[in-house]
Amino acid sequence: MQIVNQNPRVAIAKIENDDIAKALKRAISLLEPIDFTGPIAIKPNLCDLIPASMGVTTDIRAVEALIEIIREKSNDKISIVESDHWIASADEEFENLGYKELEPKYGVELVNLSRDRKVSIRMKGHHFDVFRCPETLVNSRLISISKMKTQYQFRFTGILKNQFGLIPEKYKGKYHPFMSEVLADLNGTFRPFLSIIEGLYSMESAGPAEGKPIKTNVIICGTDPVAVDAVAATLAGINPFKIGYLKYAAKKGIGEINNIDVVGDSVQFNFEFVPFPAFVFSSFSLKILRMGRKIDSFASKISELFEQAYVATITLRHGFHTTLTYGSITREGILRFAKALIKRTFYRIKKSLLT
Amino acid sequence: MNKVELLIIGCGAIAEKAHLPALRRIPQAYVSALVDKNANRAQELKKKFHLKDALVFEDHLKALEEVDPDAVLILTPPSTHPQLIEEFAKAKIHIFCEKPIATNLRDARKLIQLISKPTKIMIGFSNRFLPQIIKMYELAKSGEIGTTIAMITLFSQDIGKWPSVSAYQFRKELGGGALFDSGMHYADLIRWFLGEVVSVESKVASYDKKYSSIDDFANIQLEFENGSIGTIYVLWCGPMMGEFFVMGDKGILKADSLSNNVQVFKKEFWILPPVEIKARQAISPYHSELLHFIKCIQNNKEVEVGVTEGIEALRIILGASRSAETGKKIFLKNFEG
Repeated sequence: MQIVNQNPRVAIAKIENDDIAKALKRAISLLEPIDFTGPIAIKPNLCDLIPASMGVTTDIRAVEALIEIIREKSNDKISIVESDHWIASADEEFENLGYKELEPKYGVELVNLSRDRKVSIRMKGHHFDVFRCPETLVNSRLISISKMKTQYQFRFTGILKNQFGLIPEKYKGKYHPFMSEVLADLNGTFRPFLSIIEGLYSMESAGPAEGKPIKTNVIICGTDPVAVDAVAATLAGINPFKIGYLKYAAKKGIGEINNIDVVGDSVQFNFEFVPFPAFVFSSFSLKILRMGRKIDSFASKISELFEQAYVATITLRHGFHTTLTYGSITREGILRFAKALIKRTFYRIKKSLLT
Repeated sequence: MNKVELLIIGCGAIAEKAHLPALRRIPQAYVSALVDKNANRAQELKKKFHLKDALVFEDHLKALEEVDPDAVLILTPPSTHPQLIEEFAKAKIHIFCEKPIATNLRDARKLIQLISKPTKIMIGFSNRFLPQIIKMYELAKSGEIGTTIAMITLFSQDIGKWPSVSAYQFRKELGGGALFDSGMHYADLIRWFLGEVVSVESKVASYDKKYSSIDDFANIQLEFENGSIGTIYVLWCGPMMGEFFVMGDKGILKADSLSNNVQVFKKEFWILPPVEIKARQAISPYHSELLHFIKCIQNNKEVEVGVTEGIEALRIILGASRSAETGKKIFLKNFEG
């Protein structure tokens, strides 16, 4: 009887003499064969203008090596995708970090997701109900190629957090209090079929942008984004079970945090973290904001209910009523609405009983 | 495109607080050498900003023997600027020099001959790169407030809070004092908006006993060729704030140093609040000015704020200084310091 190993595999390859391409090739060869056909969107981590050698953004050489690996198997369309950030637009990031040169050199397309055509997709997720999605993401399969950094609010940032940059808005801070849910939605919907951590330089201390660069000389990759992050965090000396969004993603079935087959080279680091009180303050700040937003959302729903009750009462008494929210409403309209509501409730109960 | 190799001379507060943080986000450039009389200070900044490949020198001439930079950032006290500009220009190295270009017109005039040389010389008037000021300039030039009549700038800070390393700000002979050091920024800014200055009047005072060696208050009144008027207030013993007003015959523009908006007051808005126009987001004015300098080198373009701007701002401030001493209005046409 053949035993099929279901554990995700994560490969580790040391980078020697700064040869990222060689290490990447080796790491990918250690995985199960990967299908590179069809349109592909590569998402590097270009969250800032600070260069790769400072441990902040993805080294262009890693993306070039990846394109060459894909081109050996497929001539389908390749897009390099990134969105605007508060600090710079994606176009500025492409230009200043040298990515613009990839367009003529490899015939790839640089896509600023913030300016890409949007389609609304019904996510019905943990945070997003409807997501205004850049069209390129709908039409491509994703490869995420990120850095390995400490993050002062969430301890660690790697693959999963790289997909935060798929949100096409410039100011993404409002999603921070709901990071676990947002990342579960993004990584669930746009789950990368290949996740690569380019760790020639990584970042410790006050990451993701203001920390210290650390030369780690490593490529970590796999087909399960959660597993890749779990392995990378462990190598950085961070317990993956203490990374809230990673635990949440594993719980929601996006990937495996625990049973992972690690293959390739053996490395270990011990990243310095921000002073613990700083982490506690920033976490509390997010938690309080989260609580506030939830209370606000709950209060809005209750308020809406009372407003409906008021409108219904006055309309039933006077025959009609006009409000900004509901427009002109008649008594007949209210009765029809009530009737429909009852019918719908019974229909739902009936259907749920049948199934 | 090749990266621009930079040599930084002067590792004081402006390097630490403004230029080195800005350079982190300019991947088109890299620092190959840090020069400071105090090598420990240079080492400290090298470590702080993770400039692992940068060499440290105590003398810039020695540095030039070891490295071959495309450009230099001169961030030393003002009195050293003209000689350094001359030396680096002779070595055909592009120059970014913090304001002022010099502390007297005699030294500054020597630099005029460098204007036509291929070496780019940019003077660090960072206020020109504040996004709200750029937006204000665009609105004023597009006729949004009609004909420009006057401009007022108000800048206040407690100079003792600035973590100066050389403390040149407290020594007049090195280019210190509220009028000379801060007034220079606003003289350039108002000249940019309103054109050439005809005359200048000024009053200076020293209010805080801690800063008795210098003037900690300056008021400058400027008259321009086009008939408009400029007023500058600088206070070095006050709270941190900066306000800018541009008045026209159809409206007024207002901006401040803390927000990214320009407020537009127009006659037709009557008593209604002003319309707030958002300026472009920027990392910092230092980032914008250095990025401009680096891109000018890479694309062989002229810098926006060069030797002429540096000399004219200096002429205004030296005129103001003379006016403060004599109590008279100084006409700048034949003023030679």
